[in-house]
This record gives sequence, C-alpha cells and structure tokens, in this order.
Amino acid sequence: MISYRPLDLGNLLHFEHLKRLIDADLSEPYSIYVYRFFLNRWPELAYLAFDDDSEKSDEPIGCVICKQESHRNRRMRGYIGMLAVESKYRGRGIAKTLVKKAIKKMQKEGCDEIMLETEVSNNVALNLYEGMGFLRMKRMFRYYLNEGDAFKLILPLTAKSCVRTTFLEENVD
Amino acid sequence: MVLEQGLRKLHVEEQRGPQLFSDNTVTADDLIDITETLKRMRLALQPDSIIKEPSFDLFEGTHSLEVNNKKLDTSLITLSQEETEYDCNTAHGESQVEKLGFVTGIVDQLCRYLICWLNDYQLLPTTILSCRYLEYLLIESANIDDMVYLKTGDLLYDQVLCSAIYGISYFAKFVERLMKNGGVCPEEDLNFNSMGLDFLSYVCEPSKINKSLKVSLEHLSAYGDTANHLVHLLKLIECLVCMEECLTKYSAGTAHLDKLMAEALYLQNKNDSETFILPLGCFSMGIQKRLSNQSPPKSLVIPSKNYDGFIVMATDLKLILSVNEAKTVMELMQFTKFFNKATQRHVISRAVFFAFIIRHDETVLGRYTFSQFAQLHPLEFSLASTEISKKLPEEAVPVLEDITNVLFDWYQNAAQNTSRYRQGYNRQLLLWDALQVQMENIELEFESKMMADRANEPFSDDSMLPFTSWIFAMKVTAMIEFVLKGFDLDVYKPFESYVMFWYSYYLSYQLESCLEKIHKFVDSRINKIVSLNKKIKKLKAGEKKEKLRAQYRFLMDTEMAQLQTNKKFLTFLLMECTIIRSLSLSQVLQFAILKSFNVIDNKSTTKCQFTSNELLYELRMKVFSSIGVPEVVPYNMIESTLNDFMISEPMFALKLKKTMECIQKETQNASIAVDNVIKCIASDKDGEVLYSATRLVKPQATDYFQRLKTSAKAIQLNSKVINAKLENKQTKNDPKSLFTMRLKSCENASSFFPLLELVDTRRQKSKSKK
Repeated sequence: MISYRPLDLGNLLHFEHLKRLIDADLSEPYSIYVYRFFLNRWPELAYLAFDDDSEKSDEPIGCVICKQESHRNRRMRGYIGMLAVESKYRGRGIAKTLVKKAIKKMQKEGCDEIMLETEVSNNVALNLYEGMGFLRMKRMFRYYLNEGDAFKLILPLTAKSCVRTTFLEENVD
Repeated sequence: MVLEQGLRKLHVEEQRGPQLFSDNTVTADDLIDITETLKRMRLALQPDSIIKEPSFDLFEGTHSLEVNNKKLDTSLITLSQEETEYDCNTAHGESQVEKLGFVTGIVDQLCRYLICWLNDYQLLPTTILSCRYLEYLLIESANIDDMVYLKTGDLLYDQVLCSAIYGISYFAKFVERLMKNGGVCPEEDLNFNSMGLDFLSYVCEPSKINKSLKVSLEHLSAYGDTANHLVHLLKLIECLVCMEECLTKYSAGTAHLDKLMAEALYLQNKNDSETFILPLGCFSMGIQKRLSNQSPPKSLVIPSKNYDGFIVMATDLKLILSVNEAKTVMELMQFTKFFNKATQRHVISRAVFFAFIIRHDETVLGRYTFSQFAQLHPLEFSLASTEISKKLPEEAVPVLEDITNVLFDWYQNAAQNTSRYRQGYNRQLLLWDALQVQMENIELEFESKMMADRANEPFSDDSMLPFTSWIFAMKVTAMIEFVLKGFDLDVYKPFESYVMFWYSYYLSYQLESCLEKIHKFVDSRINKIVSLNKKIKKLKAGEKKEKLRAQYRFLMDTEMAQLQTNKKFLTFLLMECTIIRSLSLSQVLQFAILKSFNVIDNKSTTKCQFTSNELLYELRMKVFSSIGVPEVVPYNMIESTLNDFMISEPMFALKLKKTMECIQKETQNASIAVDNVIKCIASDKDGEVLYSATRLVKPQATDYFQRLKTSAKAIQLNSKVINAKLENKQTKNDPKSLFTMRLKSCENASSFFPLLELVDTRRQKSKSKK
C-alpha cells in the first residue's frame, strides 16, 4: 500500500532520498540551495509517498515540493516546484495524489492560485496538471538549460487569480 | 584599513605551497585564523536555517552552483594532459603542410562554432570560447589594452590565426553590444557568458583588425591552392568585422552581406570541414574550469557542417536593412508587422532592427523626429484632413510623447522571439487602453469647443475622434494578435478553442466597425474636396470663383493624396479584417457542430475539484479584464452565444446543412479576400482600390496571407470530413466514445487557425496495441 506523509525536515535520510529521486528526473540540475530553499521555508508543503509493503518502506518513492508566497503583494500564489515518482511506481496515480494533497494544503493556507512551469514536450506532466484544471497561460522560449520551451500553468482558486495584479488592492500586511 | 587594502590585492596562486600571495604584501601575520570560529558557528546552526542575502530568491537559487557536485561544479571537470599542457606559443604541426592544416582546422571550427552560438542558441564557453587560442589572446591583450600576437615563430600562427581570432572576437564584441542594447532577450535569444573576458573593449574601430586580416591574406598567397579554404574563411571573417557598420554608421549597404553569403556558399559546397585535424587539446572545456563561471559544466557542442547558417544570418539582416527604403510611416509599420510574423528571424537581425530604426540622434531612420513619428502614424490612417490635426490642443502634446513610447514598445516587440511577442502584446494592451482614455477626453473637449470631425456634417452623430480611433484600432489589432498567437504557441486546449475563436470573431467585428467609420470619414473628406471642383464649375468667373479655386488647389496639393492613400490602405485593412473574422466564425461554427454531436464541450473535461469553469474562463480572459472597450463578455453570455450557434432537433439535418453552408460561405469569403490582398501586395503600387504598403516585405506578407488561404481551404475540407464521420451510421449513436478532439496545424497553413480535428480513438487504441 502507498502511504503519504508530510516531510519531516529533521529526517536527513528522507532528504537525501527525495533529492536523489528528483535529480534522476530533472532536465537541469538543482543545487542543494534550491532544495533547502523550498524545504526549510515550507516543509509543510512537501509531501512524500512511501511503499509500505516494500522492504525499504522508509524510503520515499515519490514527492512533491511546493512553496507559497505573496505575488507582488497582491495575491497569494502557491507554486509547485518539484514532483517526482520513482519509475517503477509510475502509472498508479501517486503523482496525482501528491499534487492533490499539496494543492489542498495550499488552498487551505489561503492561496488564490497555484502556478508551475513544465516543459512543452512533457506530455505526461501536462496531462496530469491539465487534468486538474490548470491552464497554459504562456509559453516561454528556451526556458530550460536543455534549450526546451516551457509552459507556465495556473490553476485559479479564487477570483483574485483572474484579475491583473495592477488592478488588485495591495495587501496591507 | 591596511588589512582591507591588503585583502583587495589577494589572489590565489596555484601550486605554490606555503607562499600564498605573490606580491608579499600580505604575510601570515596579517591574517586571522577563523577556523575555530567557523566550526563553532557551524555547530550552532539549526538544520532549518538558511544563510542567504535577503534578495536571494528562487530564481537566484535555480542558477546557483554547488561545490563538489559534479553536475554543478566546473572545478571538477577532468582535463586530458594535452588540454592541461596546451601551449599557445608553440607552432603545432611537424611540417608546414600540417601546420596549415591545423590553423585552417582551428579557424574553420571557430567559424562553425559562431553559427552554433548564434543560430542554435548555444553558449559561448561551449563554442568559440572553448578555443584555447581565443582565451589566451583575449587574456594577454586585455593586460596591455592592445592586441597581442602569438610568438611561435611561425606566421601561420603568429599572424594568420591571430588575425582570424581577433576578427571573430571583434564580431562577438558587436553581438555583445547588440545584446546590451536590449533589442532581444539575454539568455533566451542570446547568451553572452564571456567568462569574465574582455572582448576587445580597447579596440574602438575595426581598421587594425581589417589590416591584420589583409596581411594574413597576403601571407597565404604564397601557399597557393593549398590555403584556399583558409583564404575563404578569412574573407568571410572580413565580412563579419564590417557588420557593425549598420549601427556605427547606420549604413544600409549590403555589399559585405552579399560577399558573406558568397563565401559561406563556397565553404558549404566545398564541404572540407571534416578533413581537417585539430591539435589535441586546442578546443576544450578547460575554460569552464579556469575562468569565472556562472553556469554548470557543459560539454562542447559538436558543430555541424553549417556554413549555410551564415547565409540565413546575412539574408535576414539584409531584409532588416531594407527598412531604410521605407518612404512612409505606413510602409515602416507594414514592414514591422510582417518581417518577423510568419518566421522567426535570425537573432542578429532581430537585435539590429530596433537600434537601426530608432537612432542615437533621436530620429527614426534618420528622417523623422520622435514627435513627427508619433503624429505621422495617425496621420497616415485617420488624422489627415481633420480639424484637430490643424489646431492640435496643448493638452495633446504630452499624450503624443506617451504615444511615441508605446509605439517604440510596439516596434521593439515585433522583433522579439515568438513567445515574447505574445507577452509584449499582453503588456501593450494596458498602454493602448490608457492612451485611448487620455486622448478620448482631449478630443471630446476639443469637439465641444471647436468643430467635430464627422463624416456627415454638421448634425450627425458620427464623430470620428481621429486620434482615439487610431489608438482603438491599434489596441484591438493587438488584442486579436494576442488571441490568435496563443493558437500558434499551442497555449489553448481544444475545449478553449470556442471561446478564443469567438473572441477573435468579436474583436474583428469591433475592428471592422472602427475601420468602416474611419473609411466613411475619409471618403466624405475626399468627396468634399471633389465637390469643390463641381462648385467651381458652376460658379461664374469672379473673385468668389478664384477664391474657391485656390482653396481647391490647396486641398488637392496638401490633403488629397494622403486621403486617397489612407482610404485605400483602410480598404486593405478592412479586407484583412474580413479574412480574420470569416475564418474565426468558421471555426466557431465548426465547434458548434462538434458540440451539437456531443464530441466536444467548451468546458474543461476534468473534474474541477479546486476550481470552476467560470474561474477558468475568467483566468483566460484576465488579459482583457481591465479593457473598457471592447468589454470582456461575461461567462454566462459566452455560454449563451454557443447555445445560439448549436444545432438541435427538430430539423437537425436541415440546420446542420445550413451551418455547413455557412462555413462554406465564410471560408470562401476569406479566400476571395486573400486573393484580392495578394494581388494588391504583388502589384507593389498604390492601386485603384487597395494599398497594402508592403513593398519592402512582399514575400513575407504574401506568405502570411497565402497561409490564411490554405487555412480557409483546410477548414472547409475538415468540415466535410467531420460531417462524414459524424453522420456515419456506425458512429452516429455514440460519437463521444469513439472520437476525441485535437487542434492540428496543417502544413503551409496559418498556425493561427489550427484545425479542430476529430481523432478516431479506436484507431489510436489499435495502433498502441501494436
């Protein structure tokens, strides 16, 4: 059975495993800083998946890493930074569950929208996110180090997401 | 202070053991050992604390490097012995023949790397900067602010190779300047990671380099045919050195570009590149290890036989320089509209474009002041022969300055890469909208005090507001472009195509109304002048007749020509508008048919657990949400528009037939309009009815419209195919389970109008089983 848990920041073993999981898939390498940037500031927005029936049931087999910040001090934007599932576990809806858990959490925390970027050629990711309602907002030319274009995707959660920031009131806090 | 001064002079000397500092200004006594403090502080650190500059964000993070991480630390690059010990001051090669082969091979590789860098968007360190000689010469020259030559004792290296490298570096310096001008996007369009090297900033003009190249060519003449390839390479480099003249002298001359193409064609056809052997270690990743680096390690590019890349660059630059021949602002605008529209032009030409037209002497193309430039745009559209053009109110002057800035933005945006181009329109919509509000107030105020510009004077309610109308037309054109460019960039899913095509139809309709109004006004002004002549003929000879005749002549001399040109140009724009409106409506009708058969919906097919279809619609329309006119249609209204187009029982078959006929009619209208437009473009002249002002971009404009015609035909054919599939007895009962929809761009058709293609899922499944 697959179980899902929020990240335990103190567990360095988990940290190493999820770093390995993501490094294996990413088109561009991330430094330790990027992982720490997400995980240390928003540990509650990282979820790990475990195979409870496996011999290595304490090693994460999937993860999603997110952040949430005020966008131009006008709206709260959630951001899905990284998502990975070990290859032999793919096709079982693990990524979808991880993303759903993260979105639910960010929605609860008051996000007006969720944003992410993905490679134009990554049909699996596009299908996953568009299947949840994300819209392609713009295409970015040669966005990645591998020279590929990217789509910026947004999932609107509140009406604030649908108004240009120029016309939104500034958040006092 | 003393310690700080000492620290400034510090640099690490490798392999020197205990003597860390070469100048002995800092001794071990000057230093404080902080090892223990560092250890103590490290132990006190909590695992969840990050030490960083407050400004260091995720963007910085994704570009950060990491010591001891093989993927991110260039100091871990392993070099061969040949690479490490490569000596630039040795004439590599046993014999003179081998030396000539080596030097030719190095220059050949550098030239091909130039094209990899510029045409394939590669990095400097993985292309030309990987050359050991280039690195060495730039470092040594920067030390004395003058070009240093090698000292191998062989002129092939000391003279020929050096002059080639300086030629290439000088061209790279020009590219660096182009990038700093801001015409294109750093990183996306062009990378100039110089690794901290100074690209000949101390060489102010190219005469020294040209002279050196000439000396090299003279030297090579002694080698006869064996140096043929190298001679052509040097001649090609000579042309590259001249390329900056389009900005340093604003020269529109193209002789050097023609020569560049001829040299490139020779080298491409000769196809000798693979026969040259390079000295081992001459091209290497070493520079990434040695010099200041902000990027992860990256392998060297393997250059292809790509001399035709120079031809692409020169051809596109020639096209850009031809803008110098624009006789009117109308021609300049049409040039800008079409030159980069269907095909993304070479990065150098795109970068040159804006700097070439908007000049340092604060003129446009050296012939219009910025203020003239701002006024000529509306003048060659709607402003001619208007009251406000004769008595421009003072309040309009600052708005004209704003118009200049928005126009600059528009011109600059036209040269952007295909993705940025759409984003540019996103930004511009707000600017045009704000300008419209400003100018509308001024014009209404002017009208209340002075005479209004109306088509049917004096009492009709058809005030034209010439500035506002022009701004509105610019804004709505930008909106249409933004909507349709989204199809080109594959931004929309099939379910969104209804809304986007409907919106494009709605905007075209708005634009058409605006253009018709201006057209009517221009026509009325022409008729007014013509009627003066009739009046003169009716009058008896006398003072009144002479006065009227003088007025008639004055108007004929000063206003008639511009009014007639504007009228024909507006007719051309109306025709273009008809094409977009008809094709958009055809797509809308096609969608309605598909929806009527229940094979597609205008809502997301996903279960929207976190959002709603209304929010998705509003997000898609966010760009337009603040635009006053034309207003964004509310969600429920857009729903009802689709219901109006849909077909239902009773008489489903008859209604379907009528909708199909409607698609047929609209696509035919579009095709006929395209034929007229293409004929007008080809004629090149101010014709009797139409004027396209596309003299300088004939092939590009023709290609754009030809593609629209192909789209019209394809939509028509697709409609028949869809009908046949859906009316098939076997599929009629449950088409939704048998078909899926996709947006498909057809070959040679416009990517602004992809087809709504019905895909048979049964075939797909059987294919995937195989």
